[in-house]
Amino acid sequence: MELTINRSKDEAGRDTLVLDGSIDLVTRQMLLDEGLAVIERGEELALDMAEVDFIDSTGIGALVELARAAKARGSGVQISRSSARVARVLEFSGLDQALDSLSPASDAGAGAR
Amino acid sequence: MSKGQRHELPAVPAAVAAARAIVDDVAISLSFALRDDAALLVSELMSNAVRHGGATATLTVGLGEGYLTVELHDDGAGRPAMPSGAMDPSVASGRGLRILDRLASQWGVEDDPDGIGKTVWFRLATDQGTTAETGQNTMSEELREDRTVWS
Repeated sequence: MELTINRSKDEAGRDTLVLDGSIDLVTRQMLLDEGLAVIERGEELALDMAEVDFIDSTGIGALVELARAAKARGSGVQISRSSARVARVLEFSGLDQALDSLSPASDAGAGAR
Repeated sequence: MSKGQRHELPAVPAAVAAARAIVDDVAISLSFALRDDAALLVSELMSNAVRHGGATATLTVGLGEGYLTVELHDDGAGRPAMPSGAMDPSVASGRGLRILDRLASQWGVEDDPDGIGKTVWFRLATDQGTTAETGQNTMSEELREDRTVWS
């Protein structure tokens, strides 16, 4: 019931965090720290969540925070793969839409911190 | 309100996973889908208690009469006025509540008689034939007014 994060690059050379485990009130900070380290370099961030077996609203909040931080730097966060469980929570918490609205391609300014 | 196993937990972040494990032990005979939902919902309740509750929380889990019933009591004082952004600005208001409202067959918040602590509870129908569809939405509408206890 913990979280492991490995950094890698995808085919396009994009920084990817490969997440394995649970994202909750305890482990969300790990995700934030690792994600912000990429974002603060101005890089686009990809998250591979295929091996995430649990996420709750505190984890979703961490994803929103990363997306906002990326947007503020003109970058973005993309979830490249997700488990069925993650996809379900993303959908009914409305984050699939929130991530779209936070992407750099959308109207600049709105939602940025 | 229900019989079940009672567990006193420290209101610390690590207790969120412990609460999930306790609920899953009781829910072990249920479908994977129900166990997933139960784990998610108790995680929302416990996370809320850790952020806004007192030093400890009491988790009660019962299975029977067509439902898995989970209650979490905490002694958090002054919760309605507690600024949610002080510790954790990233936890957007109401996201956990929306998940609770979406997945639970029934849920609610009950204030202690002394007005200090509260119990947040939910039920998941374990037998599709006994789902309390009638009244479910009405109950949720009423309870939405309690959203100030949650962030």
